[in-house]
Amino acid sequence: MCILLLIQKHNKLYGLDLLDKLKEIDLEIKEGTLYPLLNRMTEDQILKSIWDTENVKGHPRKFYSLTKDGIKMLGEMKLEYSRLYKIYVNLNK
Amino acid sequence: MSTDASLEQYLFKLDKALGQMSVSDRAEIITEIKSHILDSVERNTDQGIQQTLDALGAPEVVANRYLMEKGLKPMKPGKSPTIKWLTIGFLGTLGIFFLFVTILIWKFTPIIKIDGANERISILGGLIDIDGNDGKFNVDGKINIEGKKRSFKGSKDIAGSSIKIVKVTFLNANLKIYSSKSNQLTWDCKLSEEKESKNVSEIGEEFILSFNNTKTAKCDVYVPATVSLKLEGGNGKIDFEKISFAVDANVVNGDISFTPEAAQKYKFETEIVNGSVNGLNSSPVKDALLIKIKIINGKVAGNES
Repeated sequence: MCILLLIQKHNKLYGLDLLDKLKEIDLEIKEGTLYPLLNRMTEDQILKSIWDTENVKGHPRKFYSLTKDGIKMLGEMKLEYSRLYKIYVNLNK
Repeated sequence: MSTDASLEQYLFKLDKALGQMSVSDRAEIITEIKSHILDSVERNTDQGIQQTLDALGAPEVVANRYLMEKGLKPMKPGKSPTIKWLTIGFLGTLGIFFLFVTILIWKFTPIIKIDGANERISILGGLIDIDGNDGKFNVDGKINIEGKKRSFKGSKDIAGSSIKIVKVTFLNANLKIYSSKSNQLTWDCKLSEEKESKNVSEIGEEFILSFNNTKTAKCDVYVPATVSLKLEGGNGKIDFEKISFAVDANVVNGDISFTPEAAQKYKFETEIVNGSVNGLNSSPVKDALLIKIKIINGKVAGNES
């Protein structure tokens, strides 16, 4: 969910950038785990990817952004998370 | 290993481990991972390519994550190079051994071939060739022994003597054994030998004709019915012609033929390690003559009387 939130926040992100952003929010994830995960989410049509070879310096980069289905799914996940969080807060009163 | 080489090797292994995926999927993954590695190295100048590769994880492990995320079966870890090479070495040695054995069998087959008509014995596919007619002995075409022929004739009156056994020993012989019509033991031989040797001796009840110092011996031997015949030798072609005495033959490589006397009863005891026995009919009567034949390689054949 955090990966999807970060991608939504920045509109589009490529792998190495995403790793840095996750590190910044103390969510370290191994690159060997992240890339297969992004690959699967792309196959599931939650994310879409596009190679950018012109507007980047050096090497071509594969940018990920949310699809319509991905945006919808993230909305549902947010609602579910809010509901669970309310339950958690009530239980901890 | 140079930077490019280690990167290329990593990507090669990753591509190989992703084997179950389509070519286009694999190409996309390889391009993304390569781009990530080069980007990481550029961004973190204090970090070498090897550290970046280590952080990514072993190519087989990364490939397995891709495969599992795709719902495919992860590949099994490969065998260590030591085990792999030991296995290859073992199988290779085994293969060479079997090839060697096959060549040996092919080269030395048949083990023994006896050509009765031409009095010739060929052992180990012709490696050892014994020509009884010419008295020639040949090993692998390199050692040729051609003896001078010597005529060796004689006789011994068995009547009134203590002799019970006539023993004939030989290296290579072509013997024709007959029944003597009298009490005379007679022999008519042609021997191939370098120098003359003592061929006749008597020890107790035994009268011995020895051809152990003779390369080849070709003999007609007439044996009286009052004694038994004992044969001991290496390579022999032996023909028993209507004999009326007991026989105990022990030959390493032999071709023995037996023509029975019609009125005589025989009891055969044969022991052949490699070879065949046929045409011998033992009689159940008690006074049947005992014919014992023991051969390592060869055959015993009975003829019609």
